[in-house]
Amino acid sequence: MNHKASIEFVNIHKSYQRTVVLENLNLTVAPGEHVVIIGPSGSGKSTILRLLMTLEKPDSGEILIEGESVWHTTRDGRNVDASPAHIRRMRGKVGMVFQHFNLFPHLRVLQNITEAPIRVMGMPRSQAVRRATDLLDRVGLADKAEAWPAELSGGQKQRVAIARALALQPRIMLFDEITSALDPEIAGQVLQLVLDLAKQTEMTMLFVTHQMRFARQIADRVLFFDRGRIIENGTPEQVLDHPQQPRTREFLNNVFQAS
Amino acid sequence: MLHMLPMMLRGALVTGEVTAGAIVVASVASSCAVAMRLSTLTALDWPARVYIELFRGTSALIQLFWAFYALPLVLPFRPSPIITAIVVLGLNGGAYGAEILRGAILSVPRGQHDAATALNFSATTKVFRVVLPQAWPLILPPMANLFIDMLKNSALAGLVQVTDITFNAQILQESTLRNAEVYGLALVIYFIMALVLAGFMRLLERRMKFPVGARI
Repeated sequence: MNHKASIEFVNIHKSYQRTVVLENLNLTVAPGEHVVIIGPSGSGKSTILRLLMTLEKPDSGEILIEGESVWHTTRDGRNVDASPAHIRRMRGKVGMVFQHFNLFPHLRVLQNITEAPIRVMGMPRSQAVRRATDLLDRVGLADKAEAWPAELSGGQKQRVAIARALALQPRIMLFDEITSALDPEIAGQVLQLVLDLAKQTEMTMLFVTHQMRFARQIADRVLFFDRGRIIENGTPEQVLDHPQQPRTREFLNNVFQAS
Repeated sequence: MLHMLPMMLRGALVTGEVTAGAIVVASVASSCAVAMRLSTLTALDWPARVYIELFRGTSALIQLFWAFYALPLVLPFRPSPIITAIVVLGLNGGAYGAEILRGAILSVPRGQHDAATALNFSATTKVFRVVLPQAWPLILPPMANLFIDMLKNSALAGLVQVTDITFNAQILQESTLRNAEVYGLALVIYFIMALVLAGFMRLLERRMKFPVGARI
């Protein structure tokens, strides 16, 4: 096994009731790599991110983060289910930004960001507040620290959600259709923020998106996904400009026509 | 009518004790029951279901009579009427309370659970910092209803020799035969007590409030 990989999916199967969502998925992502996953709705793209974030458990196969299995450990030479403590430690390496922001409505903006550092990392409140203020500044919302999430626009909410995920300093960041709930102009601003972020950090990043221009700008690699399988895997030029598979061409035609 | 007041107020004090005690029992019982109901362990879920259905599905008065007249036959001691009333009315209210809590907790959107997990919150942090604070605004109004209902149901305690408002009102009625005054006074006292309880719940509600807008 290549232990230099940031993320490895080995023979991952996932189904809900009788619907197979991921079938024998193998995927390796290098440290610092930016991978964009595209594909039709219901193709299992988001499930990849949800599995990595441990929001779902695979039916079979292994997910490794930095060479270490998320769901299993070895005890006496045998592969056994990992303890909740192990899973939490692995989960701590990953952060996620959601399509619908999922900010905590009962906490002010600043508290949304400080909550995890204080309660999960045990960071002193003053330090957490300093970090949150810096992050808010970075996402251009320094003046909204005391606002309630309900008082923010969609784009502002998503910026706070990005700052909140960054506060735990994850090694891997997952972005699940983060602009799908935003109007195009606002979406552009949020994507620009993510582009800047990608340039400034060495985090491994996975994106599920329908924004092809953004994919082209940010991706080291694009995966086209359909019915639980990777159909095409290559650089943005290879996949977006010169797709080899008819299914990819059909999908891209539809997407470009729509935009 | 003034000479009735001291006895009625003594009754009010007992009604207050029974109601307050029953509310405490109901709060504990409903919290335990809902934790068991939402547990993934069937061994915990089922006893909670049985408790809820049993207490919701039978008359509070019969529960009280049973606990007062039948239970002491199998118990090695006889609990006082007031304790019996507090426990029975509390368990009865708790069954309804558990369902109120369950509905409110389940209405917290899945995205909130996802966010809490993605931020690596422990199960306890998730419950106490994410789920419950958002469930509270949904819990309090129906809980206020339940508690006021329990205040009025506490009148049943008068039927098992607890000297509450209803019990004392009956004694006064029998000795004075002034139905209108006695029961009128009882109505007013219950009403004032309900107002105080409702006011207290509204105060709690206001303290728990946060600006809820469109989906966050």
